Amino acid sequence: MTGFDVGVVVESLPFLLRGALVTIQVSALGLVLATLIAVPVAFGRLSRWRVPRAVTFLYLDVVRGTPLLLQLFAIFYVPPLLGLDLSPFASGVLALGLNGGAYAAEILRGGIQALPRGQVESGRALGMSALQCARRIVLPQAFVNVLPALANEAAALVKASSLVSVLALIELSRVGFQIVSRVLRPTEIYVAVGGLYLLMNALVGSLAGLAQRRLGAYR
Amino acid sequence: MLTFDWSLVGRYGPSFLAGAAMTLSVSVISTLAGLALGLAAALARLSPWRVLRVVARAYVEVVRGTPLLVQLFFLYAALPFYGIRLSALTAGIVALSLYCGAFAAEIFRAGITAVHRGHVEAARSLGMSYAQTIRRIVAPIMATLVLPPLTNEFTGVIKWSSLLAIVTVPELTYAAQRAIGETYSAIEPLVVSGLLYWVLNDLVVAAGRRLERRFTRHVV
Repeated sequence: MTGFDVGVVVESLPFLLRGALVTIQVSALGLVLATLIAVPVAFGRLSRWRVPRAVTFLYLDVVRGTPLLLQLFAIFYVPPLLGLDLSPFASGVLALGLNGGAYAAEILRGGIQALPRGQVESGRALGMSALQCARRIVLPQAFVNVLPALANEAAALVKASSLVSVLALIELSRVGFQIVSRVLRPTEIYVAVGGLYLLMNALVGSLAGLAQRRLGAYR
Repeated sequence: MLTFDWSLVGRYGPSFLAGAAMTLSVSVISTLAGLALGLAAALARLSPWRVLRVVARAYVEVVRGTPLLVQLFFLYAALPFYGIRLSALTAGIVALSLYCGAFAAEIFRAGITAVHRGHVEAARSLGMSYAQTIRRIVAPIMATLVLPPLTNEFTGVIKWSSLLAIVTVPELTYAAQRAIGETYSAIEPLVVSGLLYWVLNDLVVAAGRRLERRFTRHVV
């Protein structure tokens, strides 16, 4: 059996595209959750108080010290023990958000620490509260500065979303595996699946470039 | 209910330790192969020959742009159709090495291009041969630059190697999965395997720090 049968790719493309849509949805929501987690965790790591520092340190160490696959098992098995019933999609978003949040928090912390102290000091001297300073002075600048690193993280998250297939979520990878087990043309299907992931990553890259130009415009 | 049954830890302890040993050996082999591959790809990307540059660039972009899981299944499921049958373990090590190599290539490329031209020119004008310049000047400077990201890469490989469980390589995540399947209790296997990963991770980070100090002795 040799040769590359384009017909197989064309035939399975509608299914693969539907899978890619789920991949985009779960990754996008996971990214939103990751951002929502990253901001407080980054500030918690830099806090004056011991408790937020310890709590965020533990979170970062656990998430960054263990594989995503193991975390997915935890999200699959533990909530039912607590009486929670999560759909595969919800568990996928939760896992990607918790995982991505830890990596994004460390990037954001770097961005916050790289800002000159005078920025916050002059904000405070002008009568802004710490919260106002964070929202108006620190975060806008830190975000723009670390945007390339965050875009890398976003691309990694899209790829990591392939692991959510073990939670029985029918996303791009799983659709690919299912088609392969039916038509037995792994080369064609995996090349198509890989191509779609490359496309999505290119999309993330160009969106990040656009955001960079837009957000960086005021400087 | 959340309870913790210590007897499970005793009963499955040996299989977890064997799994951790497998995870570590797979990761070490793949990282070493990945480093060699990465260095070759980095040099190819900086070479004067266009073909080498294009091939290396395609390798790096494709591997970095697609999920490891898909690559692993490609190696494990598609290659037999071309008469190349890899065992789960071999396919896993090849996939991990290729994956690690693509990321290492970018790290090496950044390290090589960061070595100042003036250093090389100064060494050459002092009469060092090309090989001497590489060994005495370029390599030491590059090593200090690439060591921290490469340590990071190694911890990444340990975590990525968990995917080998999906193709039934008996490493740490597989041990956890099996224990969950046999006992219907999830907490104990997850906690024990998580802790073992965490220990492996911290060992690598600590070793990386030691090496870093050795390489940067001359700086402080």
